[in-house]
Amino acid sequence: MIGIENLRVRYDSDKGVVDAVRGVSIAVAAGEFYTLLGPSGCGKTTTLRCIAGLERPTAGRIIVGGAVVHDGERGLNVPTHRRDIGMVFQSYAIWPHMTVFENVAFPLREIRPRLSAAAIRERVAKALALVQLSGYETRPAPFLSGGQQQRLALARAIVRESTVVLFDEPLSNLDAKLRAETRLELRNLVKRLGMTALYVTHDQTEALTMADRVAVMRDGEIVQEASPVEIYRRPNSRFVASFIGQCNFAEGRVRSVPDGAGPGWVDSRWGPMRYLVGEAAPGRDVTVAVRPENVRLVRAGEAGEHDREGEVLDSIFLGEAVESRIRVGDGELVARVHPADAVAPGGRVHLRIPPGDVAILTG
Amino acid sequence: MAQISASQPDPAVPAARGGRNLPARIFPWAVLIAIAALVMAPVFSLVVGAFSLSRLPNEFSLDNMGLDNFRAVWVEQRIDRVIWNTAIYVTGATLFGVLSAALLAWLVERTDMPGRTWIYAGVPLGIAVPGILHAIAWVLLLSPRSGFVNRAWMDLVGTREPLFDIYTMGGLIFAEGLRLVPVAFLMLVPLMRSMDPALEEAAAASGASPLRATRRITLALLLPGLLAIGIFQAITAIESFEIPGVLGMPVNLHVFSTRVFNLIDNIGTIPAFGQANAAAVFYLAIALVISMFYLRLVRHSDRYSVITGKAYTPRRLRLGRWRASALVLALAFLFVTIVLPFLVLLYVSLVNYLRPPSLDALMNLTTRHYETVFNQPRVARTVANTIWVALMTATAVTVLSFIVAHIIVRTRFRGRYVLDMLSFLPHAIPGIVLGLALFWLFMQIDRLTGASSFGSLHALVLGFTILFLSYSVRAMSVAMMQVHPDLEDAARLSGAPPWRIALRVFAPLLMPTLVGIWIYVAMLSVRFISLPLILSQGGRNEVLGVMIWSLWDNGNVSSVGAIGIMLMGVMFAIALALRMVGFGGRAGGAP
Repeated sequence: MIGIENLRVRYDSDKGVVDAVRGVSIAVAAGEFYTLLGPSGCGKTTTLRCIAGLERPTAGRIIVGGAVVHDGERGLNVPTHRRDIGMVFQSYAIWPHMTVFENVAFPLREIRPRLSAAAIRERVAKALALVQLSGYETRPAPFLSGGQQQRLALARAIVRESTVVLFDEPLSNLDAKLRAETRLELRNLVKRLGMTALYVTHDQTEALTMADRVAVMRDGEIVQEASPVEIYRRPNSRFVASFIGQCNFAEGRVRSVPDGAGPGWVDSRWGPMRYLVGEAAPGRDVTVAVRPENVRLVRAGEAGEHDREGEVLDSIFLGEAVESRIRVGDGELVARVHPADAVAPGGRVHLRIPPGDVAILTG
Repeated sequence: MAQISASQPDPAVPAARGGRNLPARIFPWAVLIAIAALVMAPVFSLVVGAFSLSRLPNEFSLDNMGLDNFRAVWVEQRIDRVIWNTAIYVTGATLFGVLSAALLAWLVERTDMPGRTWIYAGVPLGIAVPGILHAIAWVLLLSPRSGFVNRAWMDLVGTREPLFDIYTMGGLIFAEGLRLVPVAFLMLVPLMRSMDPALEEAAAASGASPLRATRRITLALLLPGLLAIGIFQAITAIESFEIPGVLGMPVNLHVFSTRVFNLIDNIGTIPAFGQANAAAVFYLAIALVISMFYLRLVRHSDRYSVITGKAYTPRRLRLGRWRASALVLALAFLFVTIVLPFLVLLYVSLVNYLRPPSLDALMNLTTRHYETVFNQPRVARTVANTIWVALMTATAVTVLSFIVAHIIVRTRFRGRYVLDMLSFLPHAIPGIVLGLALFWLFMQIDRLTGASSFGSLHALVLGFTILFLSYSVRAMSVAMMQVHPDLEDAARLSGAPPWRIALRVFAPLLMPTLVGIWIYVAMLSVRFISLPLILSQGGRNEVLGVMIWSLWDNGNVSSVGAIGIMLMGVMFAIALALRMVGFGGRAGGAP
């Protein structure tokens, strides 16, 4: 439904030429919820704005809903208002001089041939009902709360029932509690309407909870594209591993690769470790990555042959968990454990790291 | 002292602090009373004078009062016609001026017109050209029989009909409308700049074409701001004297300002002082009503506030093949408002006798008129007077507005709303009206005390100070609101008394504003001629504007040209200095 081929955006700024997007290609299937995730300045918003036609690419092809809307080679560029899209802006961009009803009715009034007044009323009512804003029709738009404005922006984006909706960090202006509630509501709504969504965010939680597929961007390029589970469990680079969630890293060298007989082995500063997935050849220098919640503490009596011994250096109480910094081998790592399992600083512990949770990074 | 009292609750200390606070508590009241006297005393004497039936102000007596003046003004002078004329003139000039300014601001801010920065820098320079010189330049170009343009047209086409007669309502509207553009432009640019481009982008993403998005979103959002700016400019137009004085008065085409002036300064008739006051009371009432309407409008403009304090780089509209035409239009505006008056005055100041431009005329240029001007002791005295008035007014207004704005913005003084209103009031008083009011006030003071305040330079400084107070208090308040109160509180916690906080913290932070207001007020007091025309009493307090007026009245065009060129040179230099300190000359109350 959305196709981008080799998109490039380059513009002149005060500091010289900037390559905002450097050859991005993505393909979003119909009905898919696709998320572009990355730190600020990585080119994710620029990519989105190119799809909307608000920014002009330097090169590349963009397809929206089966129609080519931009083709650099053929010099084709369909203006924004002729593209089959809806969009939710970070600032909501609610028109302050209109009522709630007029804001939602605006996209419908632009449809040719004209819709009847009754049809407009009906579709606005339906859209407002979907975002639970029924009854606010006559309210001037600025007199809504932040959360209501956000939902109004959503209603305006879906009312035209275009094939594609674009989201530009729509939740970043909400407070934490509201954001958590809205995440699921928003995903369910998009899924229920069967729309194709492209969602831009710098918030990893949003990306993991909402998306069918996540693309992590850095410096104008996509560094990894996978499902949320895959991207969390098998990051392909140190950048992705640390950008999504917390991660312990150690330098290491591959001793053997996993085969049918058993797991592979890697030597690291934490000592020799087992792993299950990884293609790096023996002898290669790699980075070993382990997420804090995958480090388990076991009692001395239950320790197995592969468990390693360490010493707790200090602990931070987080409420639902305790984060302990532990010295093991020549290095340190952070383990996130249940408060009941916590060990006081100075205490000796045994660590168990399942081989399936050890990631071997070559990037 | 303050440090100690803050850390140690010693019972002896509060008493000491209370003692120090006494002058601090009286001070705002003293300022309030002073401002009230400054603003209300002239208005009071104007209104009382309107009921006086004595022939001259200095024969004023409470026994000789009545309503005759109002009846005379309404019935004999047909002030209703003047009201009608003024309405057409103000509406026309405001529409023409604000729409032109809006077009220019839009081209500069929201399109990819080439040379935007030059147009942006050039348009406000129009502020530097005194209105009377503009008007005179238009007469020289477009007077029906001898205007250069009209003469050339008649010779070219072989007709006896002029191309355009500037001595008409259309001429008034055209000339005054152009005068309104620079300030309207400066008020419109931030308005257009601060609009969130996402609002327009959302319209595009909703399927609206660029034209529809501009109409339904951009224009609709700008409308309240445009309305406020329009009314602000209407107040300027209604108070303007220079343009209608030069272009309308000679053919008895009167608006309010010229009618009031005409009643006391009409060759061949006895000055009708009481009637002038009565007419001025009508005039003042109308200006006050419009100003109050403006205040209300600005107060309730928050609802449409689209200013979010974020720095935007709005998408510029691609003009395509219209780029060149847009630039030509903008350059034509600069040429007509700045270059043309300069060239015309330069020409008449150099040509040996007044005649339309020709090869022969250009071959016989002379600097004789400049020599004549320099050899007149009257000119030297007038220039000295003008400089003195400008320096004194600028200093007085800057200091006074600093004090007033500080009380309004930073204290919890009970009377601060009254002070705010009082300091805005002069904005609604037309220069002619204030001149007339002060004329009466000084007459009575002189009669009672035997002093000679009337006709002194101090009278002019006082008048200008009142007139420009509202503008500078507004500009100063806006600037002060941007200084975070914490900076001041930190100084207070360090033990600095209020006057040292003002001097050490506020003044340096506000320096660009202080300098900007100072220069702008100095410029205004050179430009403004309605007030000094009434308060001028021969050579003792004649200023440049008044001298140009009387030279023009006597048909001494060459001297007007020579003085005008030198004046414009100085004004342009000041205007450039104003831009250098980064002060837009943003008129008070800009939304």
